Amino acid sequence: MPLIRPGAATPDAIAETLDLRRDQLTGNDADERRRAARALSGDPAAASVLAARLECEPDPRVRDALFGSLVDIGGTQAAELLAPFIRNDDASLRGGAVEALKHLGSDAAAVLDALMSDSDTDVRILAIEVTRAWPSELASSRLLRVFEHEPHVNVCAAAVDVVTEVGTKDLLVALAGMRVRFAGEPFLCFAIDIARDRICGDDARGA
Amino acid sequence: MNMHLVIPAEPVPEDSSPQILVVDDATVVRLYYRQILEREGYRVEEAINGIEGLEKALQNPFDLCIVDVNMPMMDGYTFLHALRREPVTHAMPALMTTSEACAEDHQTALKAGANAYLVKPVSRDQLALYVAALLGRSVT
Amino acid sequence: MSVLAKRATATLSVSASEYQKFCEYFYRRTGISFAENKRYFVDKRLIERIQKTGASGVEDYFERLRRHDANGEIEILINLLTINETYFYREDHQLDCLANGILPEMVAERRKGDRIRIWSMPCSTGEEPYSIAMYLLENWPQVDDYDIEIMASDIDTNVLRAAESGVYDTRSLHRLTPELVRKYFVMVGAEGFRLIDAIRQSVRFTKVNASDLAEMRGFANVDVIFCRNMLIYFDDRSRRQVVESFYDSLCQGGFICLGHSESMSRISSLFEVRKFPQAIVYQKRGGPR
Repeated sequence: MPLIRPGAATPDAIAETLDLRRDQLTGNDADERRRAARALSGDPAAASVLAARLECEPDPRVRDALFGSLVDIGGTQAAELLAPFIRNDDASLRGGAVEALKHLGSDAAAVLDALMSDSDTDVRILAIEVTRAWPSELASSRLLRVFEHEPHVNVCAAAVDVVTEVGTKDLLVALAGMRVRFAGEPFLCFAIDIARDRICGDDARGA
Repeated sequence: MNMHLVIPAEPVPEDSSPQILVVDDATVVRLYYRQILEREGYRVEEAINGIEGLEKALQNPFDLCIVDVNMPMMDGYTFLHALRREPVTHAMPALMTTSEACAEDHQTALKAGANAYLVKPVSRDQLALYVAALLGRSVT
Repeated sequence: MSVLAKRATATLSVSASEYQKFCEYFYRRTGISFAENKRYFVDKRLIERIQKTGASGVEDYFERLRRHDANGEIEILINLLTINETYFYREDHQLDCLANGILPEMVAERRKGDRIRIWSMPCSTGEEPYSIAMYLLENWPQVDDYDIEIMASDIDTNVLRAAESGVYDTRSLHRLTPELVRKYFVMVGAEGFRLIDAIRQSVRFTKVNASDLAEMRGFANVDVIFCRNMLIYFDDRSRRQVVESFYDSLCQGGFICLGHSESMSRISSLFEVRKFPQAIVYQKRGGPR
């Protein structure tokens, strides 16, 4: 297997290497595909090649490497390529995309804001899960929007689970409001009570 | 909703309460199910994704598992496939939960090896009823 | 007066809700749960870290913990909250698994005389790789039929040096029967026990940094890796990378054993979970599912 030498590569050599890896990504040997995917780790020129392979790669270990290499590339480029997988029919691709997007921090904010407004409730749920990895100041405004405007109970529940961990006291009023809005949903009310307890953090709430 | 009931081979002894494994990545969901199931007299263990679920299922004699579809590391369908492949967990009753509600997903759940399927949010009565039925018990 | 200001002047404490919140977060990140009776143990260490990091209170500390660029705070906390000691025959149900589960299954497809490569990483002061050697000699009937190579690595040259010298105190030997001690050790000085040459020579020690890809690539076609109680102390990114290196080092069908309370569930889905009667281990298995 040819080695990629750091530093002195010419543009032609780089393109050649990418072509080679692209071919290896479609080979019959899953181990070779996995190695090729990992070799492209952190290479911005390879981003769309990696994402394209994710569309049709059946082996979970190769998928794992493809996601990992995209995360290593990072930035809004990786975020934009990963976002569509949130809609995929395959649960493990959806899950892989969520975990990968978590690693991109605020670079993924723009794509996630769009996903959080998607018409599909499952897309909104998965997008919200990504905010669990965000600092409170980034996550709060998004969660607030859900608490104040989201009509679907499961999307609200996803946001409540995140806020038990991420939430700050400025969200308490909105949580209380949502509890009134969904008074007829026992699970969501239960979840909101837990979230309020975790955010308040003191024993004053009682049993 | 159709349900494939699994009747256990032997009757459950009166004095040993069934152990249930809850596999869901949402903390509030696991807490909610725990509260309901413990009130019904069951013992509950938790796992946050399919890998942890599988590890626990392989090491402990659970009477039933409740598993969600969307989880990191290993999703619910993959978990069920693995459960059904392993001799020690092959026949464990499995209740799948999902936020999805279309018929296609129902079929996917059953094909993956679920015995029954519930759409979230799951109500207390639904959970108690389905669990009791899958354990071959009457609901109190 | 705000809650935070009140807290700053009062003695730091962790409320029941804060404890719950911390436990839920910690469990999600690490897979580690604390029993009810560990409350005092956990609180004490949390408060210690709050003070050391200069956080204004539990809430502030928790937010710092959550940030993934947090200068290894969660790793420091994991160190404080777990006990890690080394001695001969530690977690020997895994050695039992090796001798009575993994190896018999593995050699069913091998020829007599074939090499079997076992890698103990990290090996610390050597108790683990030497235990593997002793346990196999004592408990695996086919031990003489194969060419067993035991490799042992650690990042710390001091522990490697100690390991090579093979001298231990009674604390390291406390799980060994007197017969085993008599058979495999000789006394040196008043309280030292030195491993017999045959065992010392059966292990090859090397310095390796698990995060150094080039060094890790030096290990290939390994059949079984023992990586117990190391990964838990790494940050998420390094941990994944190390596990990938291990995956590459293993041959197809190779196994990796983690510490008794460790799990791949927070690390990687590369390996297949395998249950043996004695232990859960992980296997490198290719092929579609």
